[in-house]
Amino acid sequence: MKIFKNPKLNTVFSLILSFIMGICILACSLLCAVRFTVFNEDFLIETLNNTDYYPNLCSEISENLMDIGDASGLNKTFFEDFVDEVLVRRDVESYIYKFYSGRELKVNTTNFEKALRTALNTYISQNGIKSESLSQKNINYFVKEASDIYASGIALKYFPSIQKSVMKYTTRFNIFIAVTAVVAIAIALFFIFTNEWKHIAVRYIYYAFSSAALFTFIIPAVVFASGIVSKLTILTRSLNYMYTACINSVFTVILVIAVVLIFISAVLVIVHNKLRKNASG
Amino acid sequence: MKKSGKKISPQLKKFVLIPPAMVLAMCIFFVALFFPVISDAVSIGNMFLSDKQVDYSKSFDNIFVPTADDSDTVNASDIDFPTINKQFGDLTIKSCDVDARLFFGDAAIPLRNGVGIYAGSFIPGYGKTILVAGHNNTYFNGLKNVKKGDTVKIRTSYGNYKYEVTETKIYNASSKKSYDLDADEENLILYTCYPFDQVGLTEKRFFVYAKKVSGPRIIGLYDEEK
Amino acid sequence: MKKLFAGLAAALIIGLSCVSAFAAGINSSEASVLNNMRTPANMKGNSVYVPASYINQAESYFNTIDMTTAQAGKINSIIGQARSFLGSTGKSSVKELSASERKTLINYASAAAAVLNLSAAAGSDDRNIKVITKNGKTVVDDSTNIIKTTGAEESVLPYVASGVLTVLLSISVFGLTYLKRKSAAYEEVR
Repeated sequence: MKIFKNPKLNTVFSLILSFIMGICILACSLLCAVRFTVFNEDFLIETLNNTDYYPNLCSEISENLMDIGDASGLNKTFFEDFVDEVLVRRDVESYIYKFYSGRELKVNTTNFEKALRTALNTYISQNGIKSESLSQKNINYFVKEASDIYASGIALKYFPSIQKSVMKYTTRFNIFIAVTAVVAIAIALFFIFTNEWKHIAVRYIYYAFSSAALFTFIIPAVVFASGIVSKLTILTRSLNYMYTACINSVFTVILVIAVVLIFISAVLVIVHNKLRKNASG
Repeated sequence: MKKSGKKISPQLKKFVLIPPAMVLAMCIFFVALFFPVISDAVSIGNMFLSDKQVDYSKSFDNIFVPTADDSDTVNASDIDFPTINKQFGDLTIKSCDVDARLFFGDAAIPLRNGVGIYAGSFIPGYGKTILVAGHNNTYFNGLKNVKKGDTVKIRTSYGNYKYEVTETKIYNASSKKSYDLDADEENLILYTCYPFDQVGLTEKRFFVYAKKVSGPRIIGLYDEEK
Repeated sequence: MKKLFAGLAAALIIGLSCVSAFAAGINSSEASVLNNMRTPANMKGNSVYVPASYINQAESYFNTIDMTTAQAGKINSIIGQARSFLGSTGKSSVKELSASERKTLINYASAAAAVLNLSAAAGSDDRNIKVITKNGKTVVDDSTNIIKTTGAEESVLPYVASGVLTVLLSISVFGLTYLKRKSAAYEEVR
């Protein structure tokens, strides 16, 4: 490359370009990892299905409902087996779809309320509860609180804030990915077309790929080695399953990308050596 | 001076040393670019990390060991002060069939397993307000039969206490008239939802007020007393 | 909303998990922190006090730990800085603070959390936070309302329980608030 008369300046300039290319590859890789995990509804749904999220969530909601049942004059057995995992699964998935489509994140508790009122009426008649122990106001209050508990169980914590602050950037995300990829390719082409000796061009491209590979490898390596994910203080077991599984998946994807980049770097070394041999031979 | 051994080629040096140097430069670049975001994320993120995994068990610790000691005072240094969600005693009102484990804290675990002292009030013997919550359909159901003059007994590992019921009142849950957390006199307040035996949730609370009759006063709480 | 400051101050205090345990009673360091907590912040002529419930919780917690002079010094310093900061904002209540001013408060809370070695556990509900020590011990597991629903309501429910109590809680609320910024849920918590 002969942009400057001074060869040292040319080397520095090439290294800077290589550095910029490395940043672009890194950014593109990380953005892709996020785009195809966190920004992908299928990823989240699959993650939840692959963990014990739903059974745990059902038992947590049941437990909370039993507390409210305690306070409402109901037997412990009233809420045993009341929470339907199928309904929970459907409502959570519906919540996730709303999240990704940018719709209002409100849990529809109509089916839950309906089932609760039916069960309550059956309970009242079966237990011969006298009318003086019944007040529509108190029952409505109970149903509302129970529905709120159910809804707060279904709602995924922090998702509303994530939707507000992050999801609106989905389109920009795609643009960023495209821009970084284009810049990286442009720099690579610049190296190839401005260097008389192609092995030198390949070497600068190698610098970019290998540094990006190293960086993308270090991030998940540090995260996994430190065990930081397991130390997250998330209050419920189900949420803990969800967040740790999601975070682990994202970093696993980053690790896979790192491996791919390392492979590309290795190929570049081989190509470099061959080109260099050809040039000197 | 000549170096002995095999020489590393300058090419190899470049291949090995430049990528890590670039990674270092990238780190500096990102830190410089996103420093405010990174520092905030680290400081806030650190608050959501623990050295150990969160314990999800619903079990509770019990530090209550009944004592027959009937001294008038107990030294603070002899007390194993309870922390949140620990059972440290029991509470009984014979006249109305109340018999419950007594916890420090009044969140889910205490109220599922007994009755709980609000952590913003104090334990018996402290000489201040003791605010105790319990469910009206379980452990505090018997409060519906409580009468003025009834005796409330609280047993702890550091002493046994008796309180005499002075009055009962009904307030809305949001009312602040029902308690005084600044009180400098030992006073016991038990409360539960009202009306009793209702199906559903209620907005009112039934309060039972009691004054201390006997039990050891905790001494040596403050340095100047020691 | 005035309780925000109260929460901050209390939060700075309640979860001294890093200190050695088994020291019943209130030593002079702990007493100095309690006294500091009782000093109001002056916000444009309004005296903002820490509620008794926070101070009582701090006192109860102090009975289970043994705070050193150095720790008390750090805590008192942070409380003092937070109080001065509130006074310097020119606002008459914590509710009026801007996003950046709230962020400063978060930074105080973060600094305190670091000193006190505390963690906040996020629950299934925005109002639902538990504060634990770094070694997993629960310091705060309580609800917003002093009078619980004995009965039900949020307070009885472990994960829906919303808290008021302590520092820790407040710290975590600050953290959440920062993440949520001006969300409606944040306003609800306070």
